[in-house]
Amino acid sequence: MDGAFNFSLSDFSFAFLSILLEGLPFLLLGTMISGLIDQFLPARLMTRLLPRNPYAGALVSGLLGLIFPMCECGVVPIIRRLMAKGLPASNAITYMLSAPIVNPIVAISTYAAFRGQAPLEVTLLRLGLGYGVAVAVGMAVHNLPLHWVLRQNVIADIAQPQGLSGHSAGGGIGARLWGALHVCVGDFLNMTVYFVLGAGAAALFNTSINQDFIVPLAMNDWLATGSLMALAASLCLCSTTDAFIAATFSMFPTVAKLAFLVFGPMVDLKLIFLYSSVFKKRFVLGLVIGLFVVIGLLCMRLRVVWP
Amino acid sequence: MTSTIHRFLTAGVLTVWGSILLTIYFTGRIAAYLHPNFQPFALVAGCLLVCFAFLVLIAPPTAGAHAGMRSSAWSVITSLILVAPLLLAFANTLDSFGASTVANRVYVQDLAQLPSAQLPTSGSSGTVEVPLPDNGSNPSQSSNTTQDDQYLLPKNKQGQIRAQVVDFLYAAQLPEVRDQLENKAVEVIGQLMPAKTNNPKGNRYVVVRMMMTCCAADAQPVALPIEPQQKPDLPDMAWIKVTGKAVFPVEGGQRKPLIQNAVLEKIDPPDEPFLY
Repeated sequence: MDGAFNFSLSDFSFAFLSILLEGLPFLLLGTMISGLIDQFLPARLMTRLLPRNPYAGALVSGLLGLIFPMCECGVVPIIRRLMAKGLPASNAITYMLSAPIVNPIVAISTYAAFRGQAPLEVTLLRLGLGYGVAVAVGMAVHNLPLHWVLRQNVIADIAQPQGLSGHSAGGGIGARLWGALHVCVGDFLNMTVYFVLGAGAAALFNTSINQDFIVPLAMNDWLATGSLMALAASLCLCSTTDAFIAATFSMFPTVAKLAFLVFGPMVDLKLIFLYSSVFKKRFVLGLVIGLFVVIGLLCMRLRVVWP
Repeated sequence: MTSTIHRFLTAGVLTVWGSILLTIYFTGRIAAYLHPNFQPFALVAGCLLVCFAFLVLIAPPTAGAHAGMRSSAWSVITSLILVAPLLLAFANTLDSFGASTVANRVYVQDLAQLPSAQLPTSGSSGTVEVPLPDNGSNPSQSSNTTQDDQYLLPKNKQGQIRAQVVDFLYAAQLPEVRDQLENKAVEVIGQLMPAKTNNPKGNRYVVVRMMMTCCAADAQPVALPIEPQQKPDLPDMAWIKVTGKAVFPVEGGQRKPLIQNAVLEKIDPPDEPFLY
């Protein structure tokens, strides 16, 4: 049992089920909201409410999590539906990346978890970095052709002015609720396929890899930051509670913990699979690598001013 | 025909997921999987999924509702991906981790590594005076904390102080807790594992309790070193009751808890195997 990889089927099953049980309710909540958006949110309303300037739109979208907090599992089906309702992809991606971090629940939990460890600074930096990175990604996406970013079926949905189900414009309340059910269930099944695959990958890492091999990495700032980001991606923690885990990495520098807190809600194994249901695989790969490099470098830069 | 197959497959998948969530919840097994804060969400999700399964069966066909529907074969494959891993995991889980996963994780042996713990904010080597923890990370506090926040640990019938593994981590840092335990006869329960570090004579083991933050996947083993009177003839991860003398030697510049002259007794798992 001293090797780097030790597999146990019963332990894998236990961890796999626990990840599913934790994330599934939030995925279901996201798909329910998705169904209601499809049936009740007038097409193009989001476009009218948000600033017309795409960069200003990204700046505002990055703050929507303060009003509509959503965790990373639930936000993916929502942005897919919002894009079908006319929300620009750049704004949708900004909201997708920022909402799991820039929201009041995460702010409170981060502050509570880091009591005695500069809680205000960590909380403000987490929300600030999360917001800044999300907005920057949104602005970058604005300059990309849609067919580079979104899967073909999602682009086809956007081309339908009424959204995916194509019947949201008319009908009574009963018909709309039935329609919302169909959309919710359809989205739930689509997303859950990816969620199951991601949870399997996370459970495999979680139970089989010997974490003692990660600890020596804490001795080097660069390795510490990179390894905690990789750990965040593999643990698949919920952003509302991940700060309680991060705060315990006492041997790691604070900037590495910050990288863990910013990168984890944006990228983890299950999210990579969930993103693949909406975005092109090449875009997802670029997003993951880009976020890893940018967040890592920003946090290492902070190390200079905040040892 | 395709529509009918799709409808029944969808309802079937939702029923399986909902039933497993509700089964785990109502059999009480949920305590091993999720932190209490997350458990109600699993119940609500299970109920909703079963309701949705019923509604899918009775729903009127809606124009465009199945616009994205693929072939029957594809529906069957998707349903298998959704259901087969879930059922396999459900059939193979033991609702607890075995020795290999616990050995794969870093033991928490210091208060600073304990999720949700309030850390001492000034001074060093356990001489600080800080408010005692007011969170779920200390399982003893609910029954032992008096109105003036005095930290009182109960005793068993033999007069030994009954403490949790976590209490010893606090005791290493907080003098008022340590005063109650140091050089006293104590009783603690947990699971037996070999000591991975700080075991120069090779006579130390650890008694561990898994501490959960969100779900079992993130649980960390909180470990208390013990020196048994004789080498235990018990398998790794066996549930044990340990009695012995609590000491807090300074090792490697840090004050650490240790149970000396420990007597180990095999016990049944407790109702709540995890700490929260």
